[in-house]
Amino acid sequence: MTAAAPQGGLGTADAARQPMLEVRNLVKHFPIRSGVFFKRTIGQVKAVDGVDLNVYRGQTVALVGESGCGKSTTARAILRLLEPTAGEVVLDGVNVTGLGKQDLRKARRDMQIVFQDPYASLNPRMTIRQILSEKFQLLGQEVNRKTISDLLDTVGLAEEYADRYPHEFSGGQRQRVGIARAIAMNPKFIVLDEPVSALDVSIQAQIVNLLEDLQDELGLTYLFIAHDLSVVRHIADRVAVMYLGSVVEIADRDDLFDRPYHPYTQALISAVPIPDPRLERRRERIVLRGDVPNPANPPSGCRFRTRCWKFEQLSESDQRRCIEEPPPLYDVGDNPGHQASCHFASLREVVRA
Amino acid sequence: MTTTPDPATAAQAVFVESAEHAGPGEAPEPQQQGKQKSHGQFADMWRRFRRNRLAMAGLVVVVILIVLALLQPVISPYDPYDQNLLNTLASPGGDHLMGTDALGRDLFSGLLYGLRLALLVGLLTMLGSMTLGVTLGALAGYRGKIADGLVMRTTDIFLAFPFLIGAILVVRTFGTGVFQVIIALVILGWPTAARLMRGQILALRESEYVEAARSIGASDWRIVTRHILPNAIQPVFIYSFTSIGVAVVAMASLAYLGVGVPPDTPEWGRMINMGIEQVQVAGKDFLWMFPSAAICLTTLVFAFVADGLRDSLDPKLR
Amino acid sequence: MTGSADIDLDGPPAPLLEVRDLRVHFKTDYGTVKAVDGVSWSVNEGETLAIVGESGSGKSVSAMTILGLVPSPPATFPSGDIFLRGRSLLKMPERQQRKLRGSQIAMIFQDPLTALNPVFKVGDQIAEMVRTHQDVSKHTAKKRALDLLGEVGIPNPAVRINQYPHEFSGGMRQRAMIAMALANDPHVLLADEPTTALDVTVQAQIMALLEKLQEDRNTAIVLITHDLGVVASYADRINVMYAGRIVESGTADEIFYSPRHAYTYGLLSSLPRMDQSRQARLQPIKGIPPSLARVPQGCPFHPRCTFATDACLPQVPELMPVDGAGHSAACVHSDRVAIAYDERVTQ
Ligand SMILES: Nc1ncnc2c1ncn2[C@@H]1O[C@H](COP(=O)(O)OP(=O)(O)O)[C@@H](O)[C@H]1O
Ligand SMILES: Nc1ncnc2c1ncn2[C@@H]1O[C@H](COP(=O)(O)OP(=O)(O)O)[C@@H](O)[C@H]1O
Ligand code: SF4
Ligand SMILES: [Mg+2]
Ligand SMILES: [Mg+2]
Repeated sequence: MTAAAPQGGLGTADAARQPMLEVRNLVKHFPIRSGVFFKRTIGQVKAVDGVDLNVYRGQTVALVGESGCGKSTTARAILRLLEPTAGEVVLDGVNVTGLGKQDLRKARRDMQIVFQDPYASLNPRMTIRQILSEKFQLLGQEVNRKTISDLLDTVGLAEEYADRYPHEFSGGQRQRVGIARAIAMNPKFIVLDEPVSALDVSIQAQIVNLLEDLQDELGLTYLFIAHDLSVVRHIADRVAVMYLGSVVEIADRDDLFDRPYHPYTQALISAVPIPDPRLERRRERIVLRGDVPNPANPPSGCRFRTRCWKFEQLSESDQRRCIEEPPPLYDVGDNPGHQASCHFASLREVVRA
Repeated sequence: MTTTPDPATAAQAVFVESAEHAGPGEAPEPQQQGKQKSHGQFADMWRRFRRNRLAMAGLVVVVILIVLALLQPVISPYDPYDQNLLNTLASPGGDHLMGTDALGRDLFSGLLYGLRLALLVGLLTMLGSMTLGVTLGALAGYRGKIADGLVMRTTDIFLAFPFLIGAILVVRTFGTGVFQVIIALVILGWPTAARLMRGQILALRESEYVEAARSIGASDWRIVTRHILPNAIQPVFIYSFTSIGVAVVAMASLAYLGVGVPPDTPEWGRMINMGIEQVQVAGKDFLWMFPSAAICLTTLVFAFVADGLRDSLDPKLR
Repeated sequence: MTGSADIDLDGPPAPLLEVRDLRVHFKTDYGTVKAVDGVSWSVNEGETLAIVGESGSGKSVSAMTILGLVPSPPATFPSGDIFLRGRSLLKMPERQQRKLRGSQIAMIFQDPLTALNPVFKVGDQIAEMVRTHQDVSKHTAKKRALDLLGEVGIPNPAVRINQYPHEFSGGMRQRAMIAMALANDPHVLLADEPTTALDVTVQAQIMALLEKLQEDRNTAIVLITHDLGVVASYADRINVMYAGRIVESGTADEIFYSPRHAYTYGLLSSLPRMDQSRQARLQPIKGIPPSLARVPQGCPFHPRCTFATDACLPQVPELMPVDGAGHSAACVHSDRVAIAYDERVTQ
């Protein structure tokens, strides 16, 4: 569905480099089944519908959007925790989508994930040591006392924690364990699926700092999924905004926040309250109408049109274009690598206005 | 069920979070008895179990009941089958602690024998329906598709039968006898266990920690045996424990109706039935009261223990 | 405006809702949880008072206590009183308390599913709410429910009124719950994390709705949240809670531009900001919030505090006025905090 060639890089300097992760036209549909004895498929939830992404070595690309827009599904399809319906994922030259069962297990060494819910992502019946050792055992590497204590040390936990059960930890500490599991054995690429959303404000900063430090030390490449745009502005190099299964705008961080082009991005950013009362009194909020449509039955043409504030201001013939013609990712703005999928994309300042 | 390790509810999360002190890099405050190392899982469970007073009381009684049942051949004052037509309907006291029945059999000996029977049937029914239920439920939950359809529709059919009518039908088919009763109760008991198990598996299969296991390359087999089963089986185990009481009552009901065990067996339901025949005789109410009390006590104490187990298996309770 | 106007004719008018020295403790296996430990605040017509703090700091418990929703046991209430227009709620007969709670004071929860009963139609639940506090016919109540659903911006209220909660989206459910809270024209709305479970675009819708309702009805809103952004945009005055106590209180500008408590300072410094290009490293607060069963001696924040000295240990600092008329902080080193904050800002 993308007309313009998907561009990834962080400006021209990176354009020549090979991306660490390349995602091409990724699609994941969930069949909707019904029936008593044998289920028939009566429709498809189009959770992810043609996503392209490039993530360069050592970079953090953020995937943002409202809940249900397909962020987690994208991540899981990339890691093949879910089988993609279509599309291609290439990690450091290896075509992940083409791997057989055995090779996929080996490839898991290189691609890891940290989950959102620190309470649900650790097996309650295994000690921290067992949880961490399991990875080494499964992926075929020696593990001893020192391995685990070093690993815990890296994420800021003391070794005496190792023989405790997850329920004995606070949310922030569990998230550190989840991170330790992900970074063990030096993966190349890590998906962070809302890693701080479930944590208290004062703890969020601890974890964000830890993630940044680890990236510097280990040269990690992150796909950072979030709905909190403040954290994204802090941590990301590049940001992709998703709506109803597709990327509607992608740009380098400051471009996206300071010069957003897509009406949805603009509404999303304007809706985030900033902890600054005087600024807030000045800011105008774009309040969208209604709810996100059902991904089993997305609107024709531009998927955002049912809630689009710009659509309401268009002439009838322009509106028809939004209804009939799905907008491709157009190049927008002055900087390379900034694209928005809107026929009428134009700059609107929303952070400070 | 309370033990699903699904995302803790917000309230629980807050609870756990705030019940700790330590910052990163420092050990959390030792929670109990100041031990530095983690107290093992069983110690933890035992501690949680002990806090439930009713459960502890229940456990004591259960142990006593089991010991009595095991020692029955030794401590029984009379042979429970021995009739003495010269001393029928004797009141409690004297030679016969609990009196004698219409055939002159010692009631206390009968109760003891009934206890042995009840525990045997209860435990074997539990084991049987749990084994069957867990296996088929796990199959349905993890394999899905055709296996799921078959198992679930079968449970539907079984669950649609009123319990007693179903049991009578089965016993009629297999014939009279204690093991026939057990088979009937297992056949009727496994569907609930299977449904519970399936529900657990379905929930856990989607859980983040199972996904985490997959993300580090765990095989299907390992995921099922190491990550799903140990967590899924607990609610089923607790349910099965509760079902011991149900089995005891069910066997007694069948026997009361004259189905299942042979009519002359000293079984609690039979004893109640024979006791009821004497209700017109003044002062002979003890004949049905003692076995009724025995049934109540047995069911209650197992329910209490099951409740304590529920607490003890919930790692979220401290 | 309906309801009894019990305005005290002598002296300054009493605040609409006042909480004085509220303490709520829970007896648990691991000690007494001092969930709320000496909290006082008040709120007036048309005003938005925010109570902000991390999870477990006692925000919800203090609000639920006002509505009598905290079960006792395990809760005990060692001290405290609640005044509605100067009249003590707790000294009233039970029946009258119940009447005022729910009609004059209403609550909105984070999770609408806890407030809406899944087996009844949304319209019937709102009508029921109307009828518990007003003597009106079923028909009138239903009509009122319809109006309320329209007022909170639910499209097609005539259809929606006959639907069940699960047929509503998250944002719509929250609107329905607000409609229910408004059923009896309350003077005070306690909103406990009303948008925490929602996406930002829906949050903007719901907050705009609350602002509009407040303007139309001059309602007082007590906004409980952990989100400092929401607080900055919607609150007139702010109470910062830590470990069951209010540690700083002031206007929005005072809290955000001249914080005087080390905890407030720490919170503000740890926040990433969307309006600033990549900041330097975030400055987290070390450690985690204490268990309310074992709150540290002295200033409860001292183990995590970068300003702490021995002076913080002997006793719990009192809320003391700092600059500004209504600005107060419970911090031994509020002067040093002020200086540190100014330095950070000018950097
Ligand atoms: N296993 C599944 N089966 C069916 N639908 C699913 C499944 N997982 C996710 N979905 C649907 O796909 C859409 C995207 O979900 P998700 O990727 O979790 O969104 P996000 O992470 O952005 O909140 C949602 O509409 C969700 O209901
Ligand atoms: N019923 C209860 N029994 C014991 N402790 C409770 C109970 N309800 C709340 N608490 C405790 O009271 C404290 C404050 O909780 P709460 O007011 O819900 O926090 P907040 O709303 O600020 O996140 C927490 O430590 C919580 O664990
Ligand atoms: S294409 Fe039309 S409907 Fe879609 S975002 Fe642009 S203006 Fe709005
Ligand atoms: Mg998600
Ligand atoms: Mg709360």
